[in-house]
Amino acid sequence: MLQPGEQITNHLPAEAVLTAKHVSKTVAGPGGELTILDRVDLEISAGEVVAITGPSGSGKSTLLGILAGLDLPSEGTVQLLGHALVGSDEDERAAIRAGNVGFVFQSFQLLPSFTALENVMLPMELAGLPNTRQQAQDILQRIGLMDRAAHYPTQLSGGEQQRVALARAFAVKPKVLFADEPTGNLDSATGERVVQQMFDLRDDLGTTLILVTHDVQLASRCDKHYEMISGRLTAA
Amino acid sequence: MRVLRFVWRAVQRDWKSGELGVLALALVVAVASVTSVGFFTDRVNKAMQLQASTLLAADLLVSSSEPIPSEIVQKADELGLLTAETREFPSVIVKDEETQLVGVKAVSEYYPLRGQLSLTDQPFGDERPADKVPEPGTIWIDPRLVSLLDLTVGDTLQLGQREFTVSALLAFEPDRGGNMFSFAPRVMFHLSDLESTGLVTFASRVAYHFLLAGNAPQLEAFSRWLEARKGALNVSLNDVSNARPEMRVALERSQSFLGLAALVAVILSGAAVAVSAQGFSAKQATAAAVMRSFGASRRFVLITVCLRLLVIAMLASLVGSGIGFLVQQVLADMMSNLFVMSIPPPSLAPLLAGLLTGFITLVGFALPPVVRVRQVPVMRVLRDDLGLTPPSAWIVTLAGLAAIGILMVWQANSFVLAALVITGSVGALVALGITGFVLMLLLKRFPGSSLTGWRFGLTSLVRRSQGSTLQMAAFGLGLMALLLLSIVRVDVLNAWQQELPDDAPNVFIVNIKPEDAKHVKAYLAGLDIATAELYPMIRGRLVAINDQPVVGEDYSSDPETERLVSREFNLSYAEKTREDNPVIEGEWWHGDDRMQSLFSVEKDIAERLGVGLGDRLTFRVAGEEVSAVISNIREVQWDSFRVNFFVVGTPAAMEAYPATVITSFYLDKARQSELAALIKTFPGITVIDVDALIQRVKGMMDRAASSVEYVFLFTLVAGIVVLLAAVQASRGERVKEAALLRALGAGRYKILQSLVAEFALLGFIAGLLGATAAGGIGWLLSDQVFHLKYDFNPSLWVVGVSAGVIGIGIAGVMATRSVLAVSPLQSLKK
Repeated sequence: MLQPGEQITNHLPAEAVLTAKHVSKTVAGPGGELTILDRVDLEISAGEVVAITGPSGSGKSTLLGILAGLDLPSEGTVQLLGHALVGSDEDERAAIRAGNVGFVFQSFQLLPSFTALENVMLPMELAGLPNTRQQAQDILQRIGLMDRAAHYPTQLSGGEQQRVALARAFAVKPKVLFADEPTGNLDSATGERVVQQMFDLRDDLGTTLILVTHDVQLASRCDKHYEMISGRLTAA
Repeated sequence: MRVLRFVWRAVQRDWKSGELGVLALALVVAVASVTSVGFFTDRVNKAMQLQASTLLAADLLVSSSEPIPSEIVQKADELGLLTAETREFPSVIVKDEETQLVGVKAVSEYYPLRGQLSLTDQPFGDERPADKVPEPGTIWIDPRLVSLLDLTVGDTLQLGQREFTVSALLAFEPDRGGNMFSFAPRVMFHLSDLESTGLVTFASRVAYHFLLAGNAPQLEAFSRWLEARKGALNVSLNDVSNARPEMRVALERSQSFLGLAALVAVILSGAAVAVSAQGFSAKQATAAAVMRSFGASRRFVLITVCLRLLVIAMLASLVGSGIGFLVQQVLADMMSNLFVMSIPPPSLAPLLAGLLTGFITLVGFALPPVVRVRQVPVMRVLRDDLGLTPPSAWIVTLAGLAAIGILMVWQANSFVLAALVITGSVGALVALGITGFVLMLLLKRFPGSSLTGWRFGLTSLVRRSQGSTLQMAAFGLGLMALLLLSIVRVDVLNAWQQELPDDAPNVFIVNIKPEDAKHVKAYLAGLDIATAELYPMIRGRLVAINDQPVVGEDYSSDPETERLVSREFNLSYAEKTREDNPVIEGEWWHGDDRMQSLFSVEKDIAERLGVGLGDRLTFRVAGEEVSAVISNIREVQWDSFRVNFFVVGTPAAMEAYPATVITSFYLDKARQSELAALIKTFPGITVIDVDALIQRVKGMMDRAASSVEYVFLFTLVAGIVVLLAAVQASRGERVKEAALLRALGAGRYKILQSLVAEFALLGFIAGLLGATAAGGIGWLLSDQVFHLKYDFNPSLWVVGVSAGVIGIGIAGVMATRSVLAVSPLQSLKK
């Protein structure tokens, strides 16, 4: 089993970072079984920036969760960084993510009792990396938030919170970054700044970006653009 | 290592952010209350043991009918114990050719080792403490001798071959225990004068006493050493626990009361920690999900959260123990003037108890909700609505009960007391749960529910039914504890103190000849003294049980029983039962039964002798054997100071044997000189004034009651803190909800109304149930543990409901009022 923090080397042909085959997700609803994802197929190569757009409730976030191993599909298979997620238990999937996968959430999900700096340090600490404080300070410096390092999330503006979340996501130099509506709670200027930083970090680190967004303009800047409608994924 | 580093950083963060502040505070309060009660109880118990030691005039007393073997004295010296000696025997003093039977007591230097002698210059005059024993050549005499022999201070009297000068009247002698009915007036002089009286010869009936005092390890070492040899050395060993029964009862009861105080603190601790832990685990849900999304395993999440709690618990326990120590110091200072001697320092045991209490309370109450964080759906990072499922009610209840059970049995050292309080608490919780459920059903049908105002407050209870039930349980439990402390405690303490009313008999008259009985009664009536009944008294030694011969040594494992069997019993006979001697097994004799030979036996002595209904006891009375079957078992209140007997027979069984008559009555101290005339009229009688003893027992009861009140006062404060913690726990949710309502346009007044309605209703139900539970537990405790009569106090419900409505209403609104002052945006942003 992969240990947390273990860096994944080339298990796959260079490009294939993430592969989803016939992924479906159904849940029991009040009126019977409800299909949220319907036989989704997807392949994402290393360094690609992929956008998934679609109306609310179309299943975008559910797909993102399944691709990241936060949840399991009812049917189908998912390979992340050469590891089959289906068939792995929760802790095994967590070990695959540790040090290799970053997240940016629409609601930021910064831990309220952690300062900005500590929030950035968290994934590094979890991955058991050394010099976490120094590295976290470097990242905050780079995104221009060093003066906010000692602030708690409630003391930061929405844009600042999302940039700290972004710094946290890139702290472990992840191979894959999952972003769920990263600009959804931000005004357009702030959103643009966050997006630009995301792309800059991709350029620096070669990280694969998988974005779920409503923002068509953002989607158009991505290497690939998929659209999700009623649980089905199609190339836009 | 990684885990420990992470935990250490997390604890530092918790410290800075106050994340675990409420839980830590709850633990601090819990541990502080348990340790302060523990430290203080420890010290008060020690002080009361010391106080009780005054009844022996020592911590340990070695007695023998022969001179105390020198090896015993050597052993005591070896162990560094303080020692003194006394010798007692009956003799006669002569003054101007008049003689009087007296109880002689020759005492060595340092007597008494515990307690103090009191002297006076005239009967019933002002008393002063004696700082040493009588000077050689002088004698201290019983004030009764003043009227009997017309003696006064400065006179001389003859005792054996010696003349002594009366230098003082002996008003109080701490160890004047034993069989008070065989008392002759006391005379006391220095042991060094004994030989010159020529009274102690080979044939004399002298009781030799060797008194010891010291610290607990010394005394224990001595007891252990002597227990193994006392048979061979022909001595008996007494300690405080087998001192006078009324004192033993007082000590045991006060210990039970103090134990109860500790128990209540334990329950409060649990409630506080459980409530805080719920809030903590809810807050940890998002953090756990985020950590797992970044690759942390469930084990890592669980271990780190548990270790964080453990570190916090240890720190809180240390702080709590420190506070507990300081608080008990203050309490001890407040109490010190109530005890004759200074209160001894506490042992370190309560400190360990505090730390362990913190740990057990945390595991029992905080663990079930907290371990759930490992199960938080990691998808929560994408969907806020995926929450933490609360732990199974069974697991929470069982874990909490297990923790309470362990702590209670340990703290109260009484399984019965612990079981009763647990039963009461569980009963209260079940009642609260059921009532909460029924209330929710009723409220759901409440007409015209509204989204604002007081109706909103009521319906929000329903919407949060699980949380509301939990809060109701916490509030109910807290109020139950407060009511137990404030009202039930007073009732139970009063019931106890009333057992020894101000007009408890303080004078006993014994050795009344049967033919004089009527005249004595008439004489006393003439003095306007209402006497109790006159009881025949026959002295007899137990010689057989079920026709099998018994001797004292058969009961060597139980010194008190051994002593009782070795001595003569005071027996009596009666036709009718007494109200204050309820028959608890079998039936009192009536009709033809009275013609048979039957015995009624006191409960404790029956247990000690291992006899019951149908067993045959045989006593030797005046050289003849009296045998009868036990037909009933009675309960006797030994601390009532009324005339009581271990064994009472039917007239048919006992009437034929020589008896004297005994009676008792209350006589105001100012009038006690009138008794001198009674003694002149009926020279054969013996008047025993037990006023001093009663005053000391009463004093001890009062001190015990005061100490219990102080201890309860502290627990009361802990209870209030728990109530505040319960309000605090739901504060966040309420503040947010109220902010939303304000944002949606609800006025401050409407929100205030809804908050008041919600908390007041919560308080009403909690008060009602808390009062009922407190009444039930109070009754159970009185009836089953303290064996006192308990009357339900209607004010319990009035106070309970009022305190619930007003207290919880105000506390709840105070805790959430910030939403009315802060802008909704700020509240929502938090």
